[in-house]
Amino acid sequence: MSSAAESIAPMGVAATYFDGRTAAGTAVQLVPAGQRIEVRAGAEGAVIAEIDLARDQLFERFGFAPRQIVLVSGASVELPITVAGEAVLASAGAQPAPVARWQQRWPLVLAMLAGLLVAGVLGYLHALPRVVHWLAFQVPQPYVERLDRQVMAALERERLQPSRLSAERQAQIAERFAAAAARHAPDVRYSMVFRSMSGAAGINAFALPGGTIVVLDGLVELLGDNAVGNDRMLAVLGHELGHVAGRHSLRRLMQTTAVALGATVLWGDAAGLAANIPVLLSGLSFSRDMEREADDFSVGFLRSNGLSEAPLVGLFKEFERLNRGKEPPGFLSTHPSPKERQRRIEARSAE
Amino acid sequence: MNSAETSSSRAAYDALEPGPLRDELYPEEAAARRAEQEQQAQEHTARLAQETSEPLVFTGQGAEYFRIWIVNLALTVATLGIYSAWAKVRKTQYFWQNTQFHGHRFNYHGSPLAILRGRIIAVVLLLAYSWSFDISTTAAVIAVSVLCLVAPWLFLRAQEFKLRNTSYRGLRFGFDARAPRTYPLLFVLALLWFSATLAGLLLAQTSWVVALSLAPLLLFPWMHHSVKRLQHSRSSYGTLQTSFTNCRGAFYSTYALTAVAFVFAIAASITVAVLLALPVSAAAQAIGMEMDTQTAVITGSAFGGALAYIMVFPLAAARIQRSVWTNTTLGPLWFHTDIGAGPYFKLVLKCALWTLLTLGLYWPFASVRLARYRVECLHVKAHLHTFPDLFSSVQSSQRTVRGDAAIDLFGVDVGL
Repeated sequence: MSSAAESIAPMGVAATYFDGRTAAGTAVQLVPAGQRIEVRAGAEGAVIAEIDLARDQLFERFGFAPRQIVLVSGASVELPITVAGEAVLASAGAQPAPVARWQQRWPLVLAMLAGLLVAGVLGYLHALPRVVHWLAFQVPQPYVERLDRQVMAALERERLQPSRLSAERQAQIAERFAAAAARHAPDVRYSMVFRSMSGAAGINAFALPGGTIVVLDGLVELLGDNAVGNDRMLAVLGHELGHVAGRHSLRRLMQTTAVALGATVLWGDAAGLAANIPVLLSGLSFSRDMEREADDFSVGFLRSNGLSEAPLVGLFKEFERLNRGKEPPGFLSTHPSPKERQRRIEARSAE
Repeated sequence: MNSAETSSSRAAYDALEPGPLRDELYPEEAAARRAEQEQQAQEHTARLAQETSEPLVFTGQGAEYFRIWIVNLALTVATLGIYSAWAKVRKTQYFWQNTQFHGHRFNYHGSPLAILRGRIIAVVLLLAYSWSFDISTTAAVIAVSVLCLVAPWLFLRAQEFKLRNTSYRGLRFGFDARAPRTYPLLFVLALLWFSATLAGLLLAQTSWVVALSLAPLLLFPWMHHSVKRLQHSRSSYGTLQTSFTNCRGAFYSTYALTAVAFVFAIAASITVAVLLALPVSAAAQAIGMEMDTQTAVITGSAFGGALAYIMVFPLAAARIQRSVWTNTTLGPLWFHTDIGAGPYFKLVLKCALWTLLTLGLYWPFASVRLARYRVECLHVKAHLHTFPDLFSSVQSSQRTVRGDAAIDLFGVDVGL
């Protein structure tokens, strides 16, 4: 083929031949013969095998590791990297695969790295949330409702106790919320239950994937049974309804799974612990975004019911007073700080 | 008799044709000659019985593997993950072709299509498994039981796929995956592995679940030893078989030591976290972040725990490697590893820190450094007389040709 190969052709290049039956190696010369390569051994140079690259497997070149050729007979040849050796292979029609060529080129590799970074950032910021959003709404309602029943069963076994609130108080909250929800988002299916939990975590309300909103006694007691407290309670429930309407729990689950999958592809082989760090941080950041989304929903919900954002802002002030100095730094938290949420709502209302 | 006389009679003896006649004529010379021969034979035997040690060499380069890693990643992303099977083959070929022993290289022959098929089946099984937990408790119990039944088979096939697709000097390695003798053991191991999950599904009381989760923890050294024994006693290279001497004691002492080290590392990191908590929370408040000492202590301890894991894991890994390889033989060969807890620990720490600092970009360099250390620590030992004829005496095992097609049908390459 090439003139370099032809000038080398008569001498051949040194290689080792393994017959595939024993591990003993034979010192051989590889001599080009047209489209084929003859494997010659011994002083007389007897041809003991023939390499035909259309039929036999030439492995990709990796740096200066010897070339490996596996013949269809099961025999194999190990050829040290030399200029002459590569010329012999080229004379028999060996061409590096595109991928093998790309791997050699720094500029191309760096361009690919840049492309990966751009794709990663864009995919994470724009594509992934959209795909997850779409996917979350494809999950059938009966399925997520069954999920809720299981989560509730587990929670009731471990942490939750029955509510101590009177039936009238429960009905009062539930009825006001039902009317308000019907006005703002009649299509969102939810169910509401009252439970209690001991400790500081008992001052809370949360939404499960299938639309179950759990209100804990601690929160009801903190807000109090008066006009301001009841409006704030409505703000909380509007926020939780926002989680339900946006299928936030499912989206968080899907997002975390996707990021975990990505991290495993990148560093998965051994670095189990390190690979979990991006998953954790991204999960937390996603969670804070969802809280902001639910806050916005709550503002809309309050407005539909003739209220302003004041109850929500008041709620954050109350929370801030409650956990003063107990907040972890922003990037380590599932919720934005009450102060940040309060400022955000006020800024948006001012617009 | 002077020396001249001795040497002349010896010369006469040597000149004669060997035989009983010569020995009768020169009895003294004959005796001396016999003694000489015996001594030579003894020396020869002693020399042959001497041990020789040959290292494995790794020639991979971080920069080279970095380029392979990036191209693999780009293609995997561009093909929505399908290329990952080809990437796996390319990566494994890179590491094996850069591993050298006795002047020759290893190679990897796994078929990307078989790996892709295996991965698709694994993903489907995994989805079905996690889905079952959402359906009902009964479905989950059935799924876990099925997994326990299937896992031993998967494990054996994965071992077989990995070794049968690895070659050296034109011969394939092998793994005896015939199940009858090993299946019951592997089934018990799988049951123990999933015992906490099963207990959580079947039992309502938390205390029982906790108790049943602790049992496998105590049995873990035994489980780990069993798996290593299986891997290191059923492998082969051509006609050479591996064998493994049990070393359960070493596994138990390693894990006991690791547990103690872990407790100390955790205690140390919590102490540091508590000592640092006050200044840190003061500093946080100074820059406007709200953080009380309790949060600072909790955050610090969490990071300390992660650090403790990074610190203790290489210690255990190095000791386990040592126990496993010094108790393995391959035909007339045995092994020695220089892997040391100290150097391995330093290396893992360096690799982890650089990988974190470069947001993961150092990972391919770290992989190469870790592979070099692990490979180059390993030495193959033999008696001096073993080597000259060793490779011509090793033959390809009989089952290879027939089994290859069956193995490539379904390439299980899960990292077990």
